[in-house]
Amino acid sequence: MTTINPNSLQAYIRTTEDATNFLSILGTLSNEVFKKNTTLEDILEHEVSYQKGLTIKKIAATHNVDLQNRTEIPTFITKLTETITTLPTVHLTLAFAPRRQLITVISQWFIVNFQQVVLLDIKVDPSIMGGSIVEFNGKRQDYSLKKQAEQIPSDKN
Amino acid sequence: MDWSIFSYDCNTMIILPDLITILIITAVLAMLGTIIIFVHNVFKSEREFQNKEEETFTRYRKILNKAHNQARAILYTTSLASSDIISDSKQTNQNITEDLDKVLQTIAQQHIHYMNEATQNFQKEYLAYLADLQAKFKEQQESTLTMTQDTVSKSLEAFSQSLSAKTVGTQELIDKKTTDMLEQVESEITDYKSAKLRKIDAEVGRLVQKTFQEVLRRSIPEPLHEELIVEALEKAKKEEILTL
Repeated sequence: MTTINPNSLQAYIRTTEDATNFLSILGTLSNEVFKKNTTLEDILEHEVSYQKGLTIKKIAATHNVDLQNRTEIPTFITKLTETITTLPTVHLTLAFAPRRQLITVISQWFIVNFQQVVLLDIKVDPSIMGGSIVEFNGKRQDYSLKKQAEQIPSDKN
Repeated sequence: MDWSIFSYDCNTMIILPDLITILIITAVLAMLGTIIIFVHNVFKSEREFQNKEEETFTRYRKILNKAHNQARAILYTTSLASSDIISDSKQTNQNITEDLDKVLQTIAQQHIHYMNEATQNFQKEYLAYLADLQAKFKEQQESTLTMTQDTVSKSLEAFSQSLSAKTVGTQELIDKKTTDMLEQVESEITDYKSAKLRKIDAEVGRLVQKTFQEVLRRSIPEPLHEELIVEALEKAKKEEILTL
């Protein structure tokens, strides 16, 4: 295994919360994996939720990592951690707390438009009424309905 | 002189005569004789004086009697004369009265005549003087009127010119002031309108936002939210906010 394709994480890691949880699990796995007489599957069975364990198994399977092989697991965990931490983060401010389906739509939009998985750092601000405030790499732009509503009177002037 | 002693001495002297005593006695006798002579002379002189005085009184009395008699005579004469005079004077008085009346009438007539004449003359002179005075006054009045008219005309002309100059200056000043004030008022009105409009716009914007916020929050369906978010991402990409 040379590298982990970030796009392979798209189905599992979409937000910064997802990444934090995943990194936490990987940390746990990293600590447990060096204990004797234990396998990664045993650890996944006992230390993480079924869904998260299944996700790691799928990622490992995608990258042909044998979870029974104790020598490959540390490298897998390290590379996975590196891949997650190097994912670009896009900060979005929304008017409401998005459902998972909307997060998926946004995440897929990035895949479609940039062919890249991003971590969505989503904040909720009801005052913006709709739309979004987009901030990336130090650049910020307000595309909210509030902003557009503010521009209505100034357009008159 | 102590006569007692003398008598004593006399007795003694008689008894013993002495030269000194004799001398003294002689002297005394001489003195007595002198005194007697003196008194006699005095009485004599007095008597002569009285006699003279009496003579004088007698002479005076005679004179007075004579004067009295003369006075009585004069008085009598005078009385007679006065009676004559009175009787004459009555006649004279009557004559005098008549003459005096005539004279007085004449004098009065003359005086009246003179007064009439003087009055006529005075009236003529007065009228002439009055006419002359009136003519002079008229002339003076015309002269004064002409001078006054000239002075008034000049003053009015000067005043008119001054007023005109000042009016023009004042008018320009007023126009400038009015223009400045109008500009200032217009500027203030514009500022006021702008401020009010900004305030109204801000209020309208606040109301619009509040309305938007209240209405959209409740009425925007989730697909529309999703569409708006994707649209925002599209704009961010187009504006190169997202440069992955």
